[in-house]
Amino acid sequence: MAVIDAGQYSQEELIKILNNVTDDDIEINGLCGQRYIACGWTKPKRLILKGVPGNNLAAFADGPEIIVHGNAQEGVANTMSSGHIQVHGRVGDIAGYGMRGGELFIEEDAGYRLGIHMKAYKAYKPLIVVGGSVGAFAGEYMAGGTMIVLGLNTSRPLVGPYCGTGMYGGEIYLRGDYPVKNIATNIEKVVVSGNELDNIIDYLHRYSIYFNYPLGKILDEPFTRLSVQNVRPFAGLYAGFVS
Amino acid sequence: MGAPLNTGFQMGTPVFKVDRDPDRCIQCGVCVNQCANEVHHMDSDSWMWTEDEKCVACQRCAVLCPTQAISIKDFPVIFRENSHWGSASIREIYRQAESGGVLLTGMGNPRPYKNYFDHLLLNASQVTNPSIDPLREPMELTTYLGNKGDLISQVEKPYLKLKIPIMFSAMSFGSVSLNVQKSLSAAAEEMGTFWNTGEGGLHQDLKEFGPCAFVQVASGRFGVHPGYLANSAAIEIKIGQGAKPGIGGHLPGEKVSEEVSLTRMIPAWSDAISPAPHHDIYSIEDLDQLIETLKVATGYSKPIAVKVAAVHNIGAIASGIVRAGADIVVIDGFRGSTGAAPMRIRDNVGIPIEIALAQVDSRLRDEGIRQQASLVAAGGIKNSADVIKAIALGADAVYIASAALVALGCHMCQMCFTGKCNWGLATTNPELSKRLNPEIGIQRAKNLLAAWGHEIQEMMGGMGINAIDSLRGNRLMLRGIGLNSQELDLLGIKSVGD
Repeated sequence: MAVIDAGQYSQEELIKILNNVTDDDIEINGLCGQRYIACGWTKPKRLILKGVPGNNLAAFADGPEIIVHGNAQEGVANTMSSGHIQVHGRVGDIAGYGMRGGELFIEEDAGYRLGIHMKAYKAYKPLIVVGGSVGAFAGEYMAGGTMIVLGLNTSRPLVGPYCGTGMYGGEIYLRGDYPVKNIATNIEKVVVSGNELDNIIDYLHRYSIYFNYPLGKILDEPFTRLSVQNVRPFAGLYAGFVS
Repeated sequence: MGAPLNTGFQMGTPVFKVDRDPDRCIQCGVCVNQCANEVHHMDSDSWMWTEDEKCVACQRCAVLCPTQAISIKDFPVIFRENSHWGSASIREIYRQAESGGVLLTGMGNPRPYKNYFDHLLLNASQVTNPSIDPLREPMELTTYLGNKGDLISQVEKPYLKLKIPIMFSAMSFGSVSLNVQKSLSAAAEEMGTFWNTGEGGLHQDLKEFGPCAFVQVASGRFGVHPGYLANSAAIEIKIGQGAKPGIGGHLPGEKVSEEVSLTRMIPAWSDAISPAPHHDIYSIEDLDQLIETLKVATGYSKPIAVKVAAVHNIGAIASGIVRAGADIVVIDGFRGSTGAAPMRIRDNVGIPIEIALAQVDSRLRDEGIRQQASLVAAGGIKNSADVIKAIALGADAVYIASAALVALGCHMCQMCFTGKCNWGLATTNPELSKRLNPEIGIQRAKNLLAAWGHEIQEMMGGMGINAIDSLRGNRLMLRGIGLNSQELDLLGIKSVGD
């Protein structure tokens, strides 16, 4: 395993060093906001990050496995195709934007605009699990994949305003109480329990293992599934005109 | 707002009238087979009849009729028109009262705004310096796009080499047929220039043409993955387009066929919605970040272009884009085309490319950063003279899209959004798509570029210029005709006679 002390390197230096590391396992200590780590990586390398990785961690990536011990800044997993990310802390805004595949597990809260325009395609099924709460616009324009918000140890409402606005695919699961007024009006809300949780029980189980939180406590509240039936939300918006 | 309810009640007459000359018609049925709009019908007793109200005047039947029996005319207007309320304005309201819908249209802004290209005249050498005959002497059209400003650090930045300063603008697979992309990509490769995937991914059949493609990263991030970014000449971040500045795109589910779904990487027959902004770009600093992300993701091996619509304050916007690290800035004027846009947006938003281009070039020069990025002008380029004028106003190269489609057979009916393009261009229907033979399409697109190239050389030679570099931003070669002093100022040119 290659071990890098990031504290002495600028962002540009760190990216250059990472490009030249041949080890598949890399540990970076003392991160203090260096951006663009693992951007566009296509190899299944394993990264352990300590400190705070900067914006666009693993953006456009396809395959890396990243464990962050600390908080992550904006744009984690931006347009990611595949890979696995755990953040033992919280993340900033716009995590998982346009994410097509892979997994993002966040122990605590996520900022604004989480998972906007997430989309699924065949074997690509993106997953975001948030242990805490999420800010405004979560799942806006969501086209596929799964987002789960658990609301553990958070002082904020479970989801911020405009959750699921323009959504036309995928599913959002909310644990426990949530502010109904913050959910877009066209969203179908179904309370799921027991066997109906089979779709996500593996994800919940893994959250409990990754972050050492009892699964029983996660399951002691009901889950609500948000989805839309209409994959053509704007089909009736337009009138073709012979000009 | 309540949900609109289609009343199904028609107020107006058809727009077009299909005239069939019975003396010429041989009841062969070509028109019936060719019309995807189902205008033409033939009964079992060979009686031919038409549904004028379905006609969009694409001229497919008229062109293919073996006896030239068909002509499409404007339906005789029965509205009591006056100079304020024309028939189009009246029909627009009827259509909206019927449907409650946002009027949807295709192609570029057709309104009679002033076309500044047509108010610019070129110079020619007489006596005091010799004109150059391109048939006799070498004439350089080679153009390089990219950041040319970092000479001091001596780090070579990635750049593109164009043998002719004309590229094919973004048209996604989905908005146009695969045969259109096949035609333009191969033509671009053979002519030493570039084509653009648009926001629709790169079809597997076109992977070999990745090295001569701009691959687009737009707000929907469709088909964007590391392999797509790697297999490209340059990456274009699309912020906006001239036909619909400020709004996103809705590729209707009808056009998202199985094939289209493969390259966009979304389920078939669902809408493909591109949000209005990139939600990871709310500022110049955010743009800087996405540019840098793409550079890091591709190992600093490719120029990054940023495409914006020409709008008010475009000079300041372009300055910000260059400072954010873009290697190429694409400005798309308000006449730029589209496969589908709300008509009010297409017809009323944005500014002309000529003015925007002059403003951007001047602004970047004033700020001393012009060399840090190349400028590509798009939106409304109709011929080689427009190309020359754009370059003299400050562009490094131009994009064409409508002109390329016309070369492939577009008849400008502006109904691209229906997916029923009878010329096999703006459709994903396989039966319609095969009407464009890519072999012929490649040749026609190459012919267009070659012809324009010759004309550009002729005009340059006439000006006594033998390298396109000497024309770039050389506004002394332009004079304005029929322009007021403020327009001349904004364009940075003198009046004719001055």
